[in-house]
Amino acid sequence: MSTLPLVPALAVSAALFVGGAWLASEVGALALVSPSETAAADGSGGGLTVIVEGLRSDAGSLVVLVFDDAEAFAATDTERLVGYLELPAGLGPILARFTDLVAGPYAVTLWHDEDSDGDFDTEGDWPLEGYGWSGSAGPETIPSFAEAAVEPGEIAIRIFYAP
Amino acid sequence: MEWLTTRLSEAEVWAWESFLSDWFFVISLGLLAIELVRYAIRKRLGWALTGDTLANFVTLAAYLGLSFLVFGALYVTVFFTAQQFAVFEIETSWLTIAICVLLADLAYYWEHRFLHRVGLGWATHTVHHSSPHFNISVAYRFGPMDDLWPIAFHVPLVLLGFDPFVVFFSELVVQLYQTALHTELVGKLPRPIEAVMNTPSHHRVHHGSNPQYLDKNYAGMFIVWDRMFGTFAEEQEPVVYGTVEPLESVNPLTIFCHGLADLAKRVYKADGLANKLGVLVRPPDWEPAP
Repeated sequence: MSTLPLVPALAVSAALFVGGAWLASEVGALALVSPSETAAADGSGGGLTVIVEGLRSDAGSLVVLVFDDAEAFAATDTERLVGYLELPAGLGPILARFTDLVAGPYAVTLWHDEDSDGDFDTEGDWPLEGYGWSGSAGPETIPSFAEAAVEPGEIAIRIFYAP
Repeated sequence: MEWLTTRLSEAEVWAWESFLSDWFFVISLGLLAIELVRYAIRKRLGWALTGDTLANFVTLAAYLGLSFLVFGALYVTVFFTAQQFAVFEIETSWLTIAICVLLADLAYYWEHRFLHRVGLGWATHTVHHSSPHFNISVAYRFGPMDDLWPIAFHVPLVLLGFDPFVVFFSELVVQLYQTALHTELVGKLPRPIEAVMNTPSHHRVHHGSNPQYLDKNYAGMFIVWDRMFGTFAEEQEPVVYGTVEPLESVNPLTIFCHGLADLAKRVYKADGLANKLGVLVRPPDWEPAP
């Protein structure tokens, strides 16, 4: 194979850079008009998107509950949910999209139903499955609605497991 | 194929980045264990090799410390400033990420060639090459400015319009691919793969101090850049790992700093400003004019 000296090689590389970026801007535009593009994806005024990280296994499912009421949140009253999603568990980040949740504030509770029994398993007060909340509360304190409150858009929640 | 063009958020890209780098490190430790067992079976597992391996992880800690204290903030500042001047508007999807990874691989080629052929680059990159061994722990053997130079070579991607998070992610993909090549466990792969991709064989050549192997195979993921730009060499005779002037130390501090110290010494000894500058910007084998 014939090879290029330094200066032409740099010129070819620069051309590939600009050409590649132009191509990416064109296919990006395709993505903009594709039907898969939902209002939820842009995060602004398009509902609530919860990104969950840190699941320890891909067993069972991830259950995400959304409340808009402080009392219902404090009691985890599943009769008064405004959003519910059960997604297959996985080791990578998991996305829960609630496109119809457009007027906050909301508070999110979630748990990793590892054995798929539909219950958050505990031993006394000790949690046996992964759990988490919106807001920045640590694993030891159950946050109040105000502490857990988030507006529509994109939020990330890291799941905790008791040691 | 809709997933290819569905728009991704910065938070998703970042989450994938942490996921990949963390798990890759765990897998690397597993691979290292296999390599150490192999060394033990071949009776090569002495103090020199153990010390070298441990020192590699100490340089990793020093590198991460510097990234955290200095270069991380610089990275973020430079990338997000550059984003204000972006030329194209590029949506983030797996398809545009794939294009960015290809371009980041090309950027890596030039960065790597710079690290070898410019004094200021070699001062940090020589650390990585100063190990006389070749195993996956060597991939984590870093020099003090190893997190500085990538900024300069990848900021064009941000200026062209790729999201900074996508560029970070693409750099990581290239870096992790390259990390996996640091092994003697794999011989040569099937010919079509060796023709297009960078492989453990090609990268062993890159770590050779044999004269015909010097300054060859700079590639990250695709060896085609080296084939195009005249820096390719095939693995033929056994590779003698390390630098032309062996370091012969397993002291982590000596290892981490020796490149910068050597450069400083050469600048100090060079006569006149032109010669001093020459030491900084010319190849490491350049001799100042008398």
